[in-house]
Amino acid sequence: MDNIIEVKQLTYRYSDQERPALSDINFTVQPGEWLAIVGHNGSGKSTLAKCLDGLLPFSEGTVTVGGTTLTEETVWTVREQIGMIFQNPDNQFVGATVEDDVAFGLENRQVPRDEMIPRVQAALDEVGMADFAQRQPSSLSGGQKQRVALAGIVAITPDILILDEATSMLDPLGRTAMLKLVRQLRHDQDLTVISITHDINEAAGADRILVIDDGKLVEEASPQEIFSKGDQLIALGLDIPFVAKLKAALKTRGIVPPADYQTTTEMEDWLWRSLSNT
Amino acid sequence: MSSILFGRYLPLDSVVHRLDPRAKLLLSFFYIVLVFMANSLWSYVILVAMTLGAILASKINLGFFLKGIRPLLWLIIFTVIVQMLFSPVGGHTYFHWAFLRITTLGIITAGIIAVRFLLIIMTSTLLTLTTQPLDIATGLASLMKPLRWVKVPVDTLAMMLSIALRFVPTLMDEAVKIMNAQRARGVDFGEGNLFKQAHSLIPLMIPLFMSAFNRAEDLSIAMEARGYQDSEHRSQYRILTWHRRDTITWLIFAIGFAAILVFRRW
Repeated sequence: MDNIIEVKQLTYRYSDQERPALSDINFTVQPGEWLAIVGHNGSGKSTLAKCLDGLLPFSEGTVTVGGTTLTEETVWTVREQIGMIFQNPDNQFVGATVEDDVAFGLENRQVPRDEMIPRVQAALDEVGMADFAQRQPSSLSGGQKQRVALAGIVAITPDILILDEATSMLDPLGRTAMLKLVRQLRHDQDLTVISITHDINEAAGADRILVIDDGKLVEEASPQEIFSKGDQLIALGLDIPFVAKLKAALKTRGIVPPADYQTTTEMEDWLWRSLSNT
Repeated sequence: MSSILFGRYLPLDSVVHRLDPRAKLLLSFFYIVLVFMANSLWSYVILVAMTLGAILASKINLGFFLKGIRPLLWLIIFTVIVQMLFSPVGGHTYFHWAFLRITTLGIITAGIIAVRFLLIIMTSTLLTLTTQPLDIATGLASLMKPLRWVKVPVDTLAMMLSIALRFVPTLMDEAVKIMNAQRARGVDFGEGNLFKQAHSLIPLMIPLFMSAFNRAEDLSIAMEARGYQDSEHRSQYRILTWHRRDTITWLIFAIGFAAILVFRRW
């Protein structure tokens, strides 16, 4: 099958910086594939996502999405095929209520109102937010807002879903629920998924992982191959869970927390107890 | 913090709540115009009857309206006193010192000003208590539509208004968070003299502004990614429907308005 996305020699430079944020990136994505892109903060992975959607104007290289080469003229055609979810749940909620927000993308495409109503309803059903249709964003949790963002994408039926660190501001439960939902949507809607992430679980679910470091594509492999590298994971920009990081940091300072404390709450309780003892 | 939120909407199920926001906005507008045109006892009787009737129909406790008046009480008292002391000579003079005098005419004018103030405050309070801010915005946008002919970007303005309303609670939460964070670092909010108080707002306002700008940038990228090109070429999900009850309400009020004009001293 033809590649749904082709990126060739993509180089991007922010106008105020000498060094390119992305240099000479080449990769392809198969239809229906789940691709994870990992890397440190500032490695250029979010810049890459924005280049794919034509949100940042790059001057060197080509991006082809669904057979259309991305240019100033074709940018809206390309965006028709891509749905994007960003990191901050609040900053992508445009509508005054849940249903208004889901309808936003449809309004932009000038879908007639009679057609919008069932599509909004169906999208909300799909993500399990139908009971919240009239709610205002301030009464929703971060995870619920991201679900609404997903519904907004389901409503416009794109071929590609890009998650730009979409789970990084959610709590562990919200994160798991969100990933489960993305997996289900991918199945139901035949979506190609590109997820830009720090999260180990999110990357583990992918078919293939791209590792970006300092604006360059340094590694392209299956999750198994990447995870077999063990400790090097951190060097590659994947986050180990916060509690594990905290324990490691405490150990280097000669404080040994009990090994069986796994959750954030347990660690918090233990820290308070130890602090009040001294 | 919640006391500064304009449009404290009170969700109840009443005929006034269900009215089309456009009907309510237009009625309030004409009502206020007539408040300034009224000049006879009977015209005021009709105005008061209209307001009380509308409040009764809204099922909202009168206490809420008194609360709405309280923050403006000093302004009303000040205006009344000024009006009383500086009004033109007329009728019996009760008190006279230098250029200050209290006359019958002065007292009457002051009384009229107070009544006008109260009626306008009560009507606008009724509007915001029975209409969600979002509906007011949609109503305003819909009423401004004719301005398209003179090239006013009505749709863009409506979009801006709706986004601004949507971010009010978000930025409020943020302000509270920043205040708490700065308190933890030893900033005293609302302490000391006026200058000190204003000064203590700096560590609140700067982070708040920075965050608002970051949010605006994120939001614009998200909107573009979702296919937003301009406000003109879009379809509308949220629309307002004018019902028969809106027409009936308008007819009732139109009779009242006409009566005021008849009873007015021309």
